[in-house]
Amino acid sequence: MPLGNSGASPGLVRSSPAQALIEAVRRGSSFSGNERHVVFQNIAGRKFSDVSGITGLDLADDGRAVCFTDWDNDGDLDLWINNRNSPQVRFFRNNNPGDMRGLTVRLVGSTCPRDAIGARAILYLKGQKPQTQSVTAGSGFLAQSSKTLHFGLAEDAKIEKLVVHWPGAEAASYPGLAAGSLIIRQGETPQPLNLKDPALSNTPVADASSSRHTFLAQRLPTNTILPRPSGKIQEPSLVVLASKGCPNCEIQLAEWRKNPPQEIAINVLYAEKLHEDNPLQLQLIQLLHDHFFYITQRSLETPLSFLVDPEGRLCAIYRGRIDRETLKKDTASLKIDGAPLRMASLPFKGHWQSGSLPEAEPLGFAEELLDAGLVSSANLYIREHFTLMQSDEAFPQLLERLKEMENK
Amino acid sequence: MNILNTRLVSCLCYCFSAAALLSVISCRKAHERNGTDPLEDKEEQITKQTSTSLGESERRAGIAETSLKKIAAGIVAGHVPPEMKGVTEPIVQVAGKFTGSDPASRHSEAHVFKITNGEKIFVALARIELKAKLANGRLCSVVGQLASKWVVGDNGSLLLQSLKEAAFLPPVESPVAWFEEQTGKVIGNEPAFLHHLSHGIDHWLTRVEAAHGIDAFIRNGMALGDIDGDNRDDVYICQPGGLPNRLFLHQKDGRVKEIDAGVGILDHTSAALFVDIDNDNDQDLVLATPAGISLFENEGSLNFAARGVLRTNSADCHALAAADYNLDGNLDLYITFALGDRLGDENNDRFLFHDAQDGGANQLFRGDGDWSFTEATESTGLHKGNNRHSLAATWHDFDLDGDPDLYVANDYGANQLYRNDAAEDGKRIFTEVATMVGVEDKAAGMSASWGDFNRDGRPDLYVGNMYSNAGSRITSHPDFPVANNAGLLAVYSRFAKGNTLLSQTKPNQFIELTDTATMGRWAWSSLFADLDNDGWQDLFVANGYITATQPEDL
Repeated sequence: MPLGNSGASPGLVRSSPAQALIEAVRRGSSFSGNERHVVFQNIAGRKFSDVSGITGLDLADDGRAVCFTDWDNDGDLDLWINNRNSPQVRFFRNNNPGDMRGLTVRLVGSTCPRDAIGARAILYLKGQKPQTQSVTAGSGFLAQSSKTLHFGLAEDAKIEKLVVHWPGAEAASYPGLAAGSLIIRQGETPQPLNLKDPALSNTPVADASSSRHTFLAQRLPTNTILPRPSGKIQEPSLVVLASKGCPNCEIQLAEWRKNPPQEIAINVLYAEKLHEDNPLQLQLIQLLHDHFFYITQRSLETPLSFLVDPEGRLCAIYRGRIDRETLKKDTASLKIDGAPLRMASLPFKGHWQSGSLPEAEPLGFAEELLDAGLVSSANLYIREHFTLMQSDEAFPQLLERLKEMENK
Repeated sequence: MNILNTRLVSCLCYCFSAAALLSVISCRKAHERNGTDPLEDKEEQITKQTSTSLGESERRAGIAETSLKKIAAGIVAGHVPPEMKGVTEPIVQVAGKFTGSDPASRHSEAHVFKITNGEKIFVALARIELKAKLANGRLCSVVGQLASKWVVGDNGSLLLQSLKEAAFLPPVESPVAWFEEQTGKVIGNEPAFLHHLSHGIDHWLTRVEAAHGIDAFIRNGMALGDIDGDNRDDVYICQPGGLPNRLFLHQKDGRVKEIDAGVGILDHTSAALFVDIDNDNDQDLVLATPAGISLFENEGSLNFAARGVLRTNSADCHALAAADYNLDGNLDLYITFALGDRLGDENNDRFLFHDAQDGGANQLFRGDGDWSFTEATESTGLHKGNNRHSLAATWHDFDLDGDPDLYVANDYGANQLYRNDAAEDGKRIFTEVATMVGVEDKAAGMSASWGDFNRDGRPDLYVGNMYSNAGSRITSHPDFPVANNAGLLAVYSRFAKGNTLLSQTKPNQFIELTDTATMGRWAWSSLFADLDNDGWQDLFVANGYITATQPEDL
């Protein structure tokens, strides 16, 4: 079986139920979505009771990692959670409705690792069962909670002593402790931390629109796919898909009529007209857009514009109106390559650990054309970009598949 | 063709979970909606074998669920539909409790998880959840089950005959919510939040090319640690490829402020740990990326310096856990792989949904001091059975003998508990004892947490798995493909039953508590924590897989 529609789906994936799921998700389906987080209250160690509805934590996010910490140093556990969906991170402060005290203890090792990872602390209470906490690095799902240990103290709890089993060393006993926050260094007496934080003032959460374009790191040849404006092949060009009655399209086009962008040729295609005269062109535009992104087959927003360099390679995709400054900056950056291009393609700055990004793969795109059943478009594309593909080891396989599909 | 490997690797790990079980259902639903069946080949055969009555059963479940959702919404608003007969008293009482509740605060859910297979009469069991702010201002929540009895008409129409409570738990109340969201106060004005993290991943999927290593499934973690020595935990948030990880410093006023510190890494980062690798009293940073385990030394002055990358067996790095297993004072690192290199192997016939042994080989790196690490997987015996889809690992001295043991939670099959033993030559040998002590928990393991929930001094274990209403329904249907194989059926049903609480009742002996704390939905994080400060460890389960823009779930 040939490689899949994104150019590299291995056979295992395609033949498994997972592939159907992946493709459904890429097209925009939910899967076990809108599920609320669950909180179980421990009823004196005998059973757990589902109290999700009164905790304020039962959000229907796609939650992932959860980290606990006494963020505001008031003796109870607050939490950070990250999500797949918006917002990607949330913070929750513990209201401690029962108004119970707590003891937090930070352990610092001397003979064991400084972080005291692996240390076990047992809090002995008068007339009650002891509580045990251990220092851990990595628990739950892809998460690391605070290494500061937390003990809740019910109203009647009276501390007798804390016993710490330091990894690979003798246990040590610490009597005479009270609720609050402490630091205990191995071999020393506990010290109070006195870290009470001021209450936070209320500030609004604002959102901001972010860049609506992608300056592509992988520049795909688009001859035979995107119709560039005729006669101006030596200039960069912009192929714009617009639709009737789309206000952003009208504003954009009116602006360009009044004040055309310099040194760039523009070809405007109307979706309605294509739909009647040339539906294949619409399909090609969708496939071209989807080639670059994880999502597929979602409806495209107009105006949708493609910046093509004089060599016919696609360099940027714009959704909605194009900011003149952005377009100017992008057309001036058509020559950059390698690591600077990879960085320029991203919305934020940062540091890479891995080497360079491979070049665009016209062969993969040809596969996608075949996957979509567009045999003659694939034929044209392969002929046009033959020299870019022929050295690929998968090329004979591609030709074979093309021939096979043409014969059908 | 390597560009897409990262992306495929990162997206596949979880979507496999339950896919084999649920895709039968999902795809039929998709089929009904779109007229096309996304599944081909062998899945098609399963569907065909079972289509008539499992299909009818699912149709009935759908209709019953829609109707029960309306009833649940009625109860939380204080009334039971008057036209209905055969409603039992406890249901009426619950409705009475919610009379006069604040309309804006009401929420109700109903999910059919079991359905009997009668021709003309059947019973649908639904889990319901109701919550609202009562007339007296207190928050109240009721969780239970409704047993609904239905009559099937000649034209296939369904008529609700009676409604009875089942396993109704006493209402729980609180004067205020246990927690209050303060995201806006703590992080809301940070540019990194406004422009980046306030948007979900779907937003970025149309802006960042997939080739950078971003996908829809998301497996990016988070870590807390005090990097500037002010005894306040700072926050590091991992991101998919093409978006930078973010480091936020905890300010004295409780807010955070982003700093670059050299660790705004753009590679897909699944896990991060703040640990003092070089024992110099500050928090260093360890990351799992496709490049391997990346090490960063805290140089003080809010800056980290790269201290190399530990090359791993595969680019599919997943979970990290640190401990000093050999008690030499240097921290050691364990990394798991969900799929490993075998993902792309077309001849892979070892993927078995209920007992997959084609996962990546997890690795142990022994810390030797001075930023030097040596792989110790094989020399410690951890290479045995090291072929599962491991989504979580956590160290804990479960047998209280003074050294950390290792629990590994695996998708599609048994989990592993490696007991840490001292050999005669002073070296360390791990022995896999999960089955022996009763913690193998064959299911879709996604996370694990240790805690002494009953305060008997012995560590207990909570494992995050998958809970699926659809999975419960179809595995209990007589047409389920393995329905006549009791052993295998039990194995499959377990995959949909939810989380597992394992109590260490005697030294080295765990008992599964089946009737409590299991319903965690599609669970990811599942952690012990004393949330109400009463001294007893509660549980928090974060869940939800993919909530997309389309209203209907697969």
